Amino acid sequence: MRMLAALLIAGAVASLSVSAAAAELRVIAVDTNLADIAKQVAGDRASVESLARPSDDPHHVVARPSMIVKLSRADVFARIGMGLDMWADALLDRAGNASVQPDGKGYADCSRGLRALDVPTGRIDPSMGDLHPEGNPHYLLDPAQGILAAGNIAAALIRVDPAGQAYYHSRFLQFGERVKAGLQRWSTALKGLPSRDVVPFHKSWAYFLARFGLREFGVLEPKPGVEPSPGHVGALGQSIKRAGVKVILCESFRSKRWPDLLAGQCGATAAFVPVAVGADPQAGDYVAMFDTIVQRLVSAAR
Amino acid sequence: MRTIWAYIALCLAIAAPADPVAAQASGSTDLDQLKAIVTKQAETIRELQERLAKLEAGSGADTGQTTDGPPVPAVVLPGPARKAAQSGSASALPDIAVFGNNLGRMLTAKGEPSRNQFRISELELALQQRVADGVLFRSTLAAGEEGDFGMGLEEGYVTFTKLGVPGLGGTLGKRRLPFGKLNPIHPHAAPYAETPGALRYLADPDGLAGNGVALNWLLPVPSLFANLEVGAVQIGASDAEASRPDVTGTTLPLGFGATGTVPMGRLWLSKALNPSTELEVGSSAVAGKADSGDSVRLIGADVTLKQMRGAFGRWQLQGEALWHTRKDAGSRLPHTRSGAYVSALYAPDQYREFGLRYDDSRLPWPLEGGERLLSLIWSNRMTESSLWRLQLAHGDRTTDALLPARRGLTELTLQFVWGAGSHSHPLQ
Repeated sequence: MRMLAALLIAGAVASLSVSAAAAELRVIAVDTNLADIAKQVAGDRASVESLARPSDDPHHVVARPSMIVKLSRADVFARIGMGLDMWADALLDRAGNASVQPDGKGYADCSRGLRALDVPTGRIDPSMGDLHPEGNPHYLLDPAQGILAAGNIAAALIRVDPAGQAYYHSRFLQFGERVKAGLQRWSTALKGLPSRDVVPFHKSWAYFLARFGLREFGVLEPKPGVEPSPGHVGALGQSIKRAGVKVILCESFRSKRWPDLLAGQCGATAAFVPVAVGADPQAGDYVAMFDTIVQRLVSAAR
Repeated sequence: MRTIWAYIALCLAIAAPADPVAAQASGSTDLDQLKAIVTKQAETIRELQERLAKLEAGSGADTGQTTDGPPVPAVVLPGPARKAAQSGSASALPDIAVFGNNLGRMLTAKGEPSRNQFRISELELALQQRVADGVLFRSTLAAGEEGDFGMGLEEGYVTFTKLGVPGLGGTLGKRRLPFGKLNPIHPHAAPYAETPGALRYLADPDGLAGNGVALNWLLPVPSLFANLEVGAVQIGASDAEASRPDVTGTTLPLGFGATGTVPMGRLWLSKALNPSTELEVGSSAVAGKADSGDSVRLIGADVTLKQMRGAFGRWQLQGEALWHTRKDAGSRLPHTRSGAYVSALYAPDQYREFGLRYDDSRLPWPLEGGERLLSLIWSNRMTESSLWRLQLAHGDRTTDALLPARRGLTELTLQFVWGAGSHSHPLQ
């Protein structure tokens, strides 16, 4: 009992000294895309870390205790929301940090204000695959929605650090301008595609396709989150061949097995593109990531 | 569009002449009028939609619309009261999920009622919701084969995430005790079809649970996850399930065996060795008195090494050891029995997982016997919450306590887990 009391007192003292020593703001983001956007907005007023690795699929991140430590010391927590990063809830419950809990000053659900696509209507059930009731959560693959995310992060930073309001606001505007310049560039590049139809591996490209006027001809997964089957791939391959679709669009973390099988059947090209900052040497930041995506998409379509 | 038509038809029906004869007489004229009204309304709706689209496009232009796609979000900071704008369908219901755990056991030894049958083993109804700022409620109602499918409360507790001290949280209510890595996990979420013998024989065949309070504190140790959890829980005779009949109908005092209020604690440490590898070690303890007056103590130690490879690939090495000590009230002599398992799991992608597990456990004193098994495990995930799994075990069982005894036995367990609804688990 005495040992326990001594441990508790020592811990409390260490707790106080740790909080006193922490002067710089700490931002924790669920993935490297939000981490990069947060870096661009927070500049040198905060240190930023991502919970997920660049190679992770945001659906399937393995929540680990070391992530709790990061969250427990965070001033701002930026998440994708819409059920995509549900794995982070178990971390929040354990972090014991009021600032980053929902409704805390430093909590930024970056989907706030989003006009969601693919919102299911009527009854949904697991036989339809892994559907998100709030709608398609892959909005960060529309570069324009990066502005929305940056706005939500900037608002949280200002709540936590009001003295930096002008600084965060000005960096947020700079980020917005960078993205808008990129939109012009990517839009022009994609206008020249011979076909507007593409076949994604997973239904994660809805926002990207809508942004650039492209169409989802079919999806390699028969249902969201369900492994492709040879029968589905065979039928899809025939339709692709008939329609002359050129591109199978895959996140770089996907296995090449099914896209290559489909490509072999229909003559289309599988384009493996980074969907997280740092997932590819060329995807050094959020804007550069879209430069890479667009460049590979255009090359695959030729 | 169908709704609009139905609405118009309903309005006209309400406004229709009450006299059916008069209505019949003016039949064709009314039909023409109705068609004209519908056409006009449809045109009005089209006009409104066009105006709306123009306004939306206009707001895009204001923010520097650069593509033909949806409006680019304005580069303005969101207001403090800005709400999420997703589905727009608000609901006060908690997250509700249902899980079924079906087991089929192909046993070489005779005597077990479930031998060579494939049937539902347990059904769980899970509810969870944030009930106040910093307070999360979770409950699991379970109906199992052991209780003849009578619904009972497996877990029902609230988690406090804001207790005013950094890193401090707590729980209040009934839950599976945070004893080691596997005990807190529900059978449908465990990576095995059959629970390791050490937990079934020395902790509880259905998971050691208690009703009470616990505090968990994230110790402020730099670069290390160090979590201390202490609490006091009530273990009722029915919750402890310390006694259960063996395959011959004889009642045996299996599991932890203490009832009443017991203290428990767990120290859990974890260190990220690199961004893809994490090492966890833990120790757990719970102690109390059995109905007979015997002192009982259960101590556990666990180690887990996880390594992520790519987006989905994962290695996990895990081991747990349990020491069950019972001090006889009469002779005051301590009798310790131990059990352990080690497992290696490998997931090459998000759909499949392969595993190897070695179990070695004895029964708690004064029972004799135990089991020593080597298992091969193959899991295939169909969706996030549904999977099927095969576990092939070979070894010796020298007790009939839960399954029939046999030396050189070979058992095949087929598991099918299905789930529906939104659900999350506390981190383990």
